[in-house]
Amino acid sequence: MANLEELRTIFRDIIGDQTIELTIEDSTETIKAWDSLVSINIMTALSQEYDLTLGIDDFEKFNRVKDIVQVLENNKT
Amino acid sequence: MLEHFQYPFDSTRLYRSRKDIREKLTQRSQRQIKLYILSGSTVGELKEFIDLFLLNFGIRAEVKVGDYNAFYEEAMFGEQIASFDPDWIYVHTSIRNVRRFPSIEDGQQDVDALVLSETERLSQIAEKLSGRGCKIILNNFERPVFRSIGNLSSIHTAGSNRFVRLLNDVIEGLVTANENVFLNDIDYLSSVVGLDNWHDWNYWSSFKYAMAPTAMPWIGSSIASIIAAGDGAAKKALLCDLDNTLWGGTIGDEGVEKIALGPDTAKGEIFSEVQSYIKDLKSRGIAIAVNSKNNEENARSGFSHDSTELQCEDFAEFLANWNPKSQNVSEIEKSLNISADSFVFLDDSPAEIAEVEMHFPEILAFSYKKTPIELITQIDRIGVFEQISISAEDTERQSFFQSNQKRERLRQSSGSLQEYLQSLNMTAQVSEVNTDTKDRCVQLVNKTNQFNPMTRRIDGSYLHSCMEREDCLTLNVRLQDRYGNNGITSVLIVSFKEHVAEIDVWVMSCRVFNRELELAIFDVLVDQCRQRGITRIEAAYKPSAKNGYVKNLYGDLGFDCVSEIEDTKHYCFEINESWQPRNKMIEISYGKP
Repeated sequence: MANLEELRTIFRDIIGDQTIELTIEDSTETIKAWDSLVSINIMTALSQEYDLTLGIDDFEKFNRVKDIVQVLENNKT
Repeated sequence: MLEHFQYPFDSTRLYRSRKDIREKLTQRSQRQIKLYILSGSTVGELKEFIDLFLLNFGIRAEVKVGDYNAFYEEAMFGEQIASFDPDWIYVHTSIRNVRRFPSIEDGQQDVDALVLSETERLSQIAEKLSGRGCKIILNNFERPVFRSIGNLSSIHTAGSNRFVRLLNDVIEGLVTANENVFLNDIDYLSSVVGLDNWHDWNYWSSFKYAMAPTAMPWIGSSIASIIAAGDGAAKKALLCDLDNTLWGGTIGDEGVEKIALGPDTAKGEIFSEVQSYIKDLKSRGIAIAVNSKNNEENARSGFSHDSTELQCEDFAEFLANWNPKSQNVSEIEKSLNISADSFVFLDDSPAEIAEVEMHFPEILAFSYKKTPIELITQIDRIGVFEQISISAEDTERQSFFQSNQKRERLRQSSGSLQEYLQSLNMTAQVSEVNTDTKDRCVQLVNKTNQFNPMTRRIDGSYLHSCMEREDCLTLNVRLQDRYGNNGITSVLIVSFKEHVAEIDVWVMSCRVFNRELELAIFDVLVDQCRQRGITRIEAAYKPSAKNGYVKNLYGDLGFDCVSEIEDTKHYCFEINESWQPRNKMIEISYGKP
């Protein structure tokens, strides 16, 4: 299970708001400041941080925390 | 320099630290610009990177990004640019904007026609926008992602790689033909980053990023250095340590025979490269100075090495002593008459750098971890010394600094300032700006911060229109003394209306301060005004962070301060019969060139 705390830190830096709480249920629907640019930047940041190899299908999975966690899990194997 | 900007750039680190960087650098910024980015593909976080790298140059930017891929429509038909009124426009296009590449059966004529049609939009944009008086940055094109005909792609008439070269020739032409258009060489940048890192199919097809986001800091850095160079905010002087910076080893301990420099050792060869690059900088007008902890004699002896690329005389200032290096930086500021925010400092010792940065946080300082060539990689890739043009004055500048050294020493030995000025045997010529001197005049106005009462900036087309107008006088002033020719050191633009002359622009190079040159120029101006039946001269002064030097300029020349509106002081000088010229030090003449 990927560390939600680490995700939260990266998330806060990307959005530029250190007060944001991130839960497994959050998504672009629940957090106002989370727009498509944020999704792209989270993807780029996580790619570098966790050395991910992403395919075209993964690219749509950065709009929900649940999906992001799944991508990180898949990459571990 | 903030560690976030270190080379190679880390896009995620930069992006995540953007708030932190802004907090640290914004209050130190000296200039502000408005930048409009026209989009040929997703701009995304590139906007942030440009913003951050501009802050590294002390420039605060208000950036607006146009609609996705609407670069042509917005430039040609839209109102968005006009209403934002930017100082700079960046057109973010790339090879992804090429709609059609040649087909294998195309002949030379077909290819030529295609080159024109694929560059047509950019040609039109360059012409339309440069007419508005703002500065435009155009991208050239990167190499194609694939070349299906292999190496032949560079040679065959219809080869896509050859095609890119032809497109880039057109872009080069657009930039050369128009002084308000500048090149952002993404062909080169993409080579540095590597095409496989630059082109990313996932990011392109999903989000229409023409280049991977990890490559974007390179573009941000490049755009920032172009803007800094165009606005006179690029760095102007390079200060260097000696031991293990310009040669391997310590000269004090090892002596000139034993230091590593030159082809005999691998290490020596690398230090030769470092010296060679610095020599190139010096030859196009960057002032270089030594800031070393060494006994002076030992320090100088390093330059008698057989393989030395640099000579002692190449340096505008040579400080080798046991003082804190920050103290030397202050001395160098005074001696070169350039403020530390235009300095770059190279030292192998992070401790020395930390000491200097503590006193001068605005200096960009670089060290190296493994190999001294890293010093050059950093200053080259970060574009700290970017220049938008190189004038004859730039290449001659170093000898001015040399002569300045001699003048300063003479000043210290003369009895009084008056005696010293007399001994300089100064002569000056005031003449109208012409096509040969135009570029130099624009450059001088845009670089000058101290003797610039209204911190005026102009561009080539503005100067040109002033030169054409009957009711306007555009003057440049050359100064010589017994040590040499200082070249064009002052520019004065005056406009006339009925019996009143208004000083629009007056700048003077800091190299010739404290010579009473302003008295001599003013005498000439008053004389010219009298000949034109002018009875009053008007001028204004608005204080800035850097122009305190001219706070009392107009007062001292005999102007009266007639009003103060916001923080601008308005002055007035009545020309009457009793006026006497005040210049006594300079033999000045006025002539049409």
